[in-house]
Formats: sequence, structure tokens, C-alpha cells
Amino acid sequence: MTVSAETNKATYDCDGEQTEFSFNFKVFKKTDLKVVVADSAGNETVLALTTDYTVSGNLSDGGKITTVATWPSGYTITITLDMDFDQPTDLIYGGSYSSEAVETMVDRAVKMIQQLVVASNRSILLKISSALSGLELPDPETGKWLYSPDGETLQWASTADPDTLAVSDFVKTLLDDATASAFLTTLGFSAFVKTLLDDEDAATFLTTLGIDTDLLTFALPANTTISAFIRTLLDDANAAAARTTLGCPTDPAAETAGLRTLGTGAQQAMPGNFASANAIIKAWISFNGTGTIAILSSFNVASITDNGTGDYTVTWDTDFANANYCATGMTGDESGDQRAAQVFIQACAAGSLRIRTKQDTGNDINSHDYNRINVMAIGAQ
Amino acid sequence: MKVRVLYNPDKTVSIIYPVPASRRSKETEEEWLSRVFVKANPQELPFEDMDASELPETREKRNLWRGEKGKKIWIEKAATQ
Repeated sequence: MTVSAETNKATYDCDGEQTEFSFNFKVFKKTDLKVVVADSAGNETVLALTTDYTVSGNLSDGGKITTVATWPSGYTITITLDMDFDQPTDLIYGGSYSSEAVETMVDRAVKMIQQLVVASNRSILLKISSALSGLELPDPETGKWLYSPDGETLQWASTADPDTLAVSDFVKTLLDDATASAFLTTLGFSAFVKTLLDDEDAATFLTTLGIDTDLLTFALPANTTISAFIRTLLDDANAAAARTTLGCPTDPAAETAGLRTLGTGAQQAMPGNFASANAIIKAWISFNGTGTIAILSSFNVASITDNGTGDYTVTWDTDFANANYCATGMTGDESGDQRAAQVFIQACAAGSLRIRTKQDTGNDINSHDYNRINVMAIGAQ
Repeated sequence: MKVRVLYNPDKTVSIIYPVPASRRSKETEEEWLSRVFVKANPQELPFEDMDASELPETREKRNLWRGEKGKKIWIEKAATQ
């Protein structure tokens, strides 16, 4: 009997019921078969003759197997040739010629070849035009992938092996960093900047920078346009400290008395007309006392009270220290009546000055409204 | 211009004119007028606030101005000599 170019393999989908599976290729004995069940994940189990299945049929052109168990949908069962690679026929020298024995020998040889074809069909082959030969696979290594470092050989590698990666030398220095902190260090971030990178919001960021969220205190950056001198002012806690920074007199009482404080702490009289603050006019006003009262100009005057003809109260905005200040005034009509005009003090208080303006008619002195009334006052405040 | 009229016990009146230059930079007009008017009325006399245009048109008879809270200002007739 000849051996055809048959496929020595049969695969079936299981359905949970089928137990008989046929094969249509020649085998010489029942043990020349291999039966494998694979689950849906591809996990294979080799079934054992007699224990898991039996074989029936004449075998020379196929037969069938009957399994003990059934397998559900998703499983497959494969029957394939699994001959021993041996030659069991012994031809006796000088014995009779048995064509059947010879044919069986040749058939076994062909079947062995076909068994190898079935195996090789599941293998990776280089293209027929490849110039490579003798290419070998290294023993598998857990978690590694196959790559060729030179285009001629194969070896295993992993992502933890930067020498196998087509990346720059700099990136290689990043890939083996064990922690995020080490990664940032390799990137050139300083330890301080790293403390900023994990801040979850702007407020936390500012706090890390040493700036409070109200901006009440903060460290100015070195390249600020704010001068070094202004910086010395920014940290002054109060006006007295700022005056000291500015070199101003720090003792208001001494200032009032005409003294200034030097950098050494010593006090010195201020020169010239500034010998005393009390030499300065502290309040003045010029107003029109006729018609509706009209303030022409003023300094440190809060209001004018019209009490009657030629009767006015000037209320100071900032009071004097007491009523013992010096007040003076002039009045008159800028046009028309040029008769003697006089200003009298009626009442002097720290916060106000009541004056009377009068006209000397020659026969009498009467209260009179003038269109120009000037008053000024000097004294301690 | 807003003024404050003080009513004296003898029914004469005093008129407070605020000086605009005394208003401070951060003061509202209301705060400024309140401060100035209160300071110029230490005796806490009865008063009314009004516009200066409501005052008598002329001061010719200023000493005859009389007033009372709620009645505003009137000019008393001069006594016959």
C-alpha cells in the first residue's frame, strides 16, 4: 500500500457531548497516535491511550478514537501522528524477500517524514531567500524578549537592560533610576525644586517658596528691581522703624522742639527757620464774610461758623495743644469803604477761634462784614 | 453747598460752612460733613442741615435772622425806634 501526501493531523471543536473523533491517516499501531485536548486559553493536556481514549478501525487508512470524557464548547481535541523514530524490521541475510516487509519499512520512513512536517509547520522559519544559517535560539529567560543586537544572532533582553535599547546615552541614565526622586535628580532638578513639583495647588506652592498666601511676608527674588535700600524699608515693623531707616528724626517730641536725631542717636538743633516746629504757621484762612460765606483758601481749618454780622468762629481741623497759641488777623474791603477795619478775638479755644470784625466809623465801632477776612495761628499742637 | 444751621437758645442762628480742603482722602462726603459739623457744635445745639441756597439771600439784616428747629430761618422785623 502506498502512502499519500496526507495531513497527519485532525482537529475538532468539542461540544460537550461528542466522544468519537475520526482520523483519516495511516498509522501502524494504536500507540502511533497522540491525542491532545486544549482549553479556550490554549492550555494543552495529552490524553493517555486506554485510560482516556480507545482506538478502533483498521488503522491502515485511518480509524477513530473514543474518549472517556467529554469537553465543553471552546475546547478542541487534536489527533496527530506520534511515531517512534525507529526501524523495527529485521531483514535476515539470505532470507526470502518479503515485499510487504520492505514496503512497511518505506511507509514508516515516509510517515516519520510526514510527522516531522507536521511539527515543522508549527515552527518559525526564515524566508527562503535569507542568507542566514545556523541561527540558534538561546534558552528562554523569564520576562525577557527576543532581540538581535547585530542582525545575525538572537538573545534575550529586558527593558531593565538599557544597553539593548536604541535610546540616547542620556535617556539611558534615566531608565535605570529606581525612584521618581532619582529620576528628577538625573534631569537636573535641585532638591528644592523637587519639593515644589509635588505641591498640589498654588497655595501649597507659595508656602513651599516661603511666601504666605496673603503675601504679608515673602522673600524677594534676587533679580528683583526693588532696590536694596527699599528692602531695608519693607521689613520695618512700624513708622518709627521706617523713620530710623530713612534717617528721619525718631523722637516726635524732640522734633517739635526743633531737634533732630542723628545716626549716632545724638540730638541736634535743626538750623535756620526750622529751629522749632512751633515757628511754623499751623493754621490759616482767608474768607469772604459778605453774602454767603465763601472760603477763599485755607490750611488746617475744618469750618467757618457764621454767628452773625461780623461774628465768625474758625474751627481748626487739628487742634492746638491748648488755648495759648498766637492768633492774628486782618480784614477790610478790597474795594469801596476803606474806613478802619479791625479784627478782635472774642474767644480762643484749642479747637476754635471766635473773632469779631468791626468798622470804626469815626463815631462808633460797629460789627461789620468784610469781603476779605484773614486769620492765622501759630503754636504747639 | 451743604451747611448746618444751629439754633441758639435765644432763637439766633449760627451757620456752619465746611471747608472743602478739610476733607480727608479716604473720607466719604457724609463722613467728612459729620465730622466737621459735630466738631463745630461742641454745645450740641439743635440743628438742621440744608443747602446754602435755602439761607436768606442777603446778610443785610444778619443779626435779625432767627430760627427754630422745624421752622427753619426767618428774619425778625426790626424794632421800631
